Formats: sequence, C-alpha cells, structure tokens
Amino acid sequence: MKGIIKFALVIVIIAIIVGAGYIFWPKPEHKPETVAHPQSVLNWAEAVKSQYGNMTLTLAAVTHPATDAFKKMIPEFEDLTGIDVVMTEMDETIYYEKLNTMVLMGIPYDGIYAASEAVPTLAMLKQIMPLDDFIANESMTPEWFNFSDIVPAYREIGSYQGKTYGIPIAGETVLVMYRKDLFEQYNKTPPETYQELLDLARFFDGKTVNGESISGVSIRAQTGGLENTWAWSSFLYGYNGGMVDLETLQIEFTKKETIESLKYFINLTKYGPPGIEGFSFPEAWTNFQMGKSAMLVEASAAAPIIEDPEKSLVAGKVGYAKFPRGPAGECVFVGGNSLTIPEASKHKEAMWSLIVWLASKYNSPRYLEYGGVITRISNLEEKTYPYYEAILDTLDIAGNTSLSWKMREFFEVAGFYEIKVQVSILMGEAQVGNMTPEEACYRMYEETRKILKGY
Amino acid sequence: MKKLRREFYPFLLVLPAFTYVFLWASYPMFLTFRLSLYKYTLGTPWSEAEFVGAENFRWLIYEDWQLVPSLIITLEFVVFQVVGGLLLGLGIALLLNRITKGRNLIAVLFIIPMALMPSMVGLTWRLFYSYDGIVNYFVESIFGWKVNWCSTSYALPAVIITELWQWTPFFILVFFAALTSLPREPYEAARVDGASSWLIFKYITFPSLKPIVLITLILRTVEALRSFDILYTIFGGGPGTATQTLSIHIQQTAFTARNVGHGAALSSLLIFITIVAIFPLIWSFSRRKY
Repeated sequence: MKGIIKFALVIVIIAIIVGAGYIFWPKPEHKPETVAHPQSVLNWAEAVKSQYGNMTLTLAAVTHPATDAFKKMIPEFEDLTGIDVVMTEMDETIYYEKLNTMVLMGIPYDGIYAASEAVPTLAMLKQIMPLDDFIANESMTPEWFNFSDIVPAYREIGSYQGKTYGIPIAGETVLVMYRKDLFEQYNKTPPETYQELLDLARFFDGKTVNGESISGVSIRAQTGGLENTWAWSSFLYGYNGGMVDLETLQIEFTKKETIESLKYFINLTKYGPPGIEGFSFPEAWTNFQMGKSAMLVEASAAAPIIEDPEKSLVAGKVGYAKFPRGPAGECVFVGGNSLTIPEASKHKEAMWSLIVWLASKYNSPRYLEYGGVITRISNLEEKTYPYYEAILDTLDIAGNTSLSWKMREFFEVAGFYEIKVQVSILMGEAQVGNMTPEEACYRMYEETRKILKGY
Repeated sequence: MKKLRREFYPFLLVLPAFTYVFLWASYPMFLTFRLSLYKYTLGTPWSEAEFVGAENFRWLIYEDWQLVPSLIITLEFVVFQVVGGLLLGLGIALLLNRITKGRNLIAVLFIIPMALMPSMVGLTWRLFYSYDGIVNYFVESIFGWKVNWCSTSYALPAVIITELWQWTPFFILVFFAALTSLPREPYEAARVDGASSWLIFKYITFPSLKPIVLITLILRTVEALRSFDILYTIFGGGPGTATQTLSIHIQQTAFTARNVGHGAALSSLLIFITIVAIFPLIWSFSRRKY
C-alpha cells in the first residue's frame, strides 16, 4: 500500500512540474513583422479579406528552406486577410508516399507542393488544376505578383503540356561549389569540363587542411532514396547518354555514352568522403559545410545555407561555378518545387491568394532574406549573393540546350518511378563494386524493358 | 447436452476476442492478398486497376532479381538479431539477478531504448555511424583506425547492432522478471548438493525459463521479420543492396516504384514466411506440458 502511495505521489509531482512548465515556459511569439505596405497591396488584402476572411486553408509542404521562409511570411498574410493557414510539413519521401495514397480519394488539402517530376503525373491524373485562368485574371492576380518575372526555365517545372499547374517557389539547378581559398592556395581554376572536375577532385582528395584530411568532392550517391540517380542524371545527358527516349520509347541504357557516364560518376565518387554511398543531400551539404571537401556538386538550393555563417564553417570562402560541360556539350538539370492547387480543394480562389502572397515579386526580397530559394529574374539580376551569377549562367544552359530538355522529358515516361528505382538499386550495386558499370547498365536495360512491357 | 454445453463454454468465452482479432488482423491481410491480384500503380485512381490473377506472383518467382538477395539478408538480419538479443538478454538478466541493490532501477533504465521511436533511433544512429561520428570516435580511440560503416561489409552489422541496442532490453526485462519469480528451494537444494553455477543454470534455471524463451523468440522473430523503420532510416536498404531486407524491398516496390500489385505479392510472401518461421516455435510451445 505504501508503495502505491509513493508511486502515486511521484506521478503527481511529475504532473505538477510538467504542467507548471507548460504554463510558465516562455512561448515563442509568432507576431507578424510590421511592414508598411503600398496601397495596392493593402487594397488587394482588403479585397481578399472581404471575400475569404475567416476561411481556413490547409497547405501540405515539404521540409525545405522555402517552407522555413513561408513560416515567417504566413502570419502577416493571416493578419492582413483574416484567413487562417494550417501548414503540414513532411519529409520529402514521406510526403510523396502520402500524396500518392491521397490521390485515391482526392487530395484533401487546399494547396500542395509538387516537385518538377511530380507535376506531369499529378496534372495527367487531373489531381491539380491549371492556373492559367487565375494568372490572367487581373482582379485575382495583382500586378505586383508578376508571373513573367519568374525564370522561364523554372516556370517550365510547374507546367505540363503548355499549361501552368504550379507556381515555382524554389528553383534549382546544379552548381559546382568550390573552396576559393584552397583553389587560390594551389593555383587552380574552377572546372569547365567533366574531365577537369574529375581531375580537380583527384587532386584535392587527401589534401590536409587545418590538420585534417579532406576529400575531393561531395555529392549525393545514396541508393534507395533515388539520390544516386539524381546525381548521375546530372552527368548522363552531358555524355549524350540517356535512359528512355520519350518519343521512340527506345531504351538507352546500353548506349556506349550511357555506360561511359556511369563509369565517370563512379570514378568521381571515389574521390568523395568515406561513406559517400550513404550520402543523401543533407550529408553531402553538411560534409562541405564542415570544410571536409574541396568541392560540392549540388542543387543551387544548398548555396544560401553554405553562405550562412551560423550553419557553415566555409561561409564566405566558397566560389560558385556553372555546371561543367560534358563530352557531348552543355546540359544541366533544372528542377524544384511549385505550389499547386488540388482539384478537390474547396477553397481554390483563397488558396490562390496565398500563393500570390508567398510567391510574388513584391514579397520576393523578404522571402530570400528568410532563406527562401530564388526563382525570379529580377532577384538574380541584382546579384546580391555570390552564387547568383553562376545560377544565371547555368539557367542559360538549361533553357537553351536540347540535352537539358531531353532530361526533363524523362519525367513523362510511363513507369518512370519503377524505372528509377531499378536504376538506383543497380547503380548502387555498381557503386559498391558488386557489378561492373557495364553489367549494371545491361541489367538496367533488361529491367526497364520488362517494366515498359507492362505499360 | 450438459456435457456438450460444458465443452463449448470455453469456446464461447474466447469467441468475442477471437472475432475481434480475426476481423482486425485478417482484413488487411485479405486486402493485401486481393491487391496482389491486381496491376495497380500508386497515385492513380482505383478504377484504373486491372485484375491480373497470379501474374504478380509469377513476376515475384521468375522476374524479381532482388527477391533472393533480400531473403538472404532478411535471414541474416533476423538470425543475428534474435539469437544475439536472446543470448545478450539472458546473460544480462542473469547478471542483473545477482545484484541485490538497485536492480529494479537498472531494469527500469533498460526500458528507455524500447520506449524510443524506432525511426528516431535510426536517424540518431545514422549520425552516430557517420565517418566522423561518435561510434568511430570510440573505435579510433580503442583500435587506432576508423570504420566506414556505410560500406557493404559493415552496413548490415551496423543495423543489427542498432536493433540489438533497442530490443535486447526486451529480452532482459522478460528474463529478469521470470528469474525473480523462480522458486528458491531448488537452488538451495542444488547448492547443498554442491552443484556448480553452470550445472544450476543448465538443470534448473534454463529449463524453468524455456517457455519464456519460446514466447520471446516468437515475438521477436515476428518483429524482426517485419522490421523496417531502423533499416530504412539508417541506410535505406543501401549501400547497394547491403541492407535491403524483404520489408525494405516491399516499401521500394509498392511506394517508391509505385507498383502496388508487386508490393502486395511481396507482402503476401512475407506473411507466409512469418507464419512458416514461427510455426515450429508455436508447435513446440503448445506440445509442452507445463
């Protein structure tokens, strides 16, 4: 009996401590930033408030720097319009798994993120609505939104068959980020070709910096999460290799150029940090941020974090170069996330007003200040950050080279996800030496043939 | 009539519980089997699903090149995890049983790893296993070199170590509870007869623990076969296919590749394997007279 009383007493004391902590612990305040807006913005907000005030919008978001920036921008939108926004944030992999199951009953959100490869599928299934009418409607889309200011190559990531389904909120290209201090110390220049990139990675691998050995290049190479496929794709088309031709449905894994590109990628990862086979993008970024690699081949979304002195030991020491040229020419991946509106949403117009607020030209300086990822020409041209020039150069390649377009078309191949999984796993087998690149490519061909037979 | 009623009475008592468990457990199982008869791509409307009969099982047997490697990895993973956990758990429980003061507190501390969310455990250990992580800090301090845990040779042992860290306490607690409830008299008699500690363990302790050992083996085998979270969060099945167990293969097939039919066929196989694996244990358990 005594024991029970003691136990109950302990529970009561713990409950009191936890309760008191909950009541008295200072809570973070989410007060919207006070900004003096121009009259046109206030008029728009008033109009939105009169139509949709007191509404609640639900937004499904991926964990991303853009989402962090939105969290700081949404309270002001709520304050100005009277609309409540409930944001659900998920890890990217989990997010798309959930989204795929939601499609069965209609996506139960008013707004969702869609990555470049997801837009064609969602649009094809009529799960997301075309936004062209909203964009053209002057009463819904104020001038300060300025759709045409968004980089054309990024606008493409939110469109399918000529229609706009998503407004880009985070445009991404691939850049080579390099340690300026080390390059100067060893009298090296940024790579302009794939071969130069490989040579530089080899040169810097094992060099000692501040008493510690560094690796040549950090890049994502993880199997399973499809990260290795993403990284390989960045080099594949520059070799004029390919996976599946959308028009002819010809499988291209056994092409000499495809095999060569895989060999190249595997060679490159040899000069990466130990355990690179398990690197997804956070590991690749962190490795470079900690000063453990001389170069990072990554999405441009990494740049703001690399330049943040609170998060990066190499902030201010990094140079940015456009993606190097392959043996067949220049080619670069363009991707990213867009905000889209599900067909099943009951608050489409109100959701559009949130998109206008978050993705407008007017709010873009603040969005970038909060850590958002650049999508607009006007911001890029200001060249506020050292990586803007490299992004502009890379976008030039992305928008103007047929190889880059071919790369994007692969998203529309039926069975795209099944093919990607097989490619990722077989590629992983080649990376760890269980297969030669040739064997892996031939197996990719066989597996893709089987998959395409079912479509 | 009275006799008949008496014989059926226990069945009637069990019936509500049986119905409840049967409906809740069997419905997803039947649904999985049903899905395995369709060609269905995740993310498309169900109206587009196509009945294909046993085609997905044909694929599984003749075309799925990852099936056999994933079965071998699953077998290694389950054996090392369950047997390792059993031996470690039993050893630690025996040691704990010898401590006279504060052993209940220690036993409570063992609950902590089990109470943690497996996916969080996986993410934490993923950091621990990084090349400059805490595990390599200790390895380097002791042996003078570092291990690349994300290599084909070490990835599976790394995942097994993490699983052991989280689930060995389960064995410890169960065995410890069983040991404390054993009667003292046989031990006292054995000591009076001059039996060694090993003989006492062999002829008294272990035979008394056998039913508990079987139960824990059944529970942990089922758990280990369907184990997913830690495997997925640490290495996601890689590097290459080094940690790709059947459950990871199912996830990749059904959710990443979006082929639900193939994924459901693989899930049906996992259910079958689980039943086959635990059947000898249950049979051995049920034929014993305690």
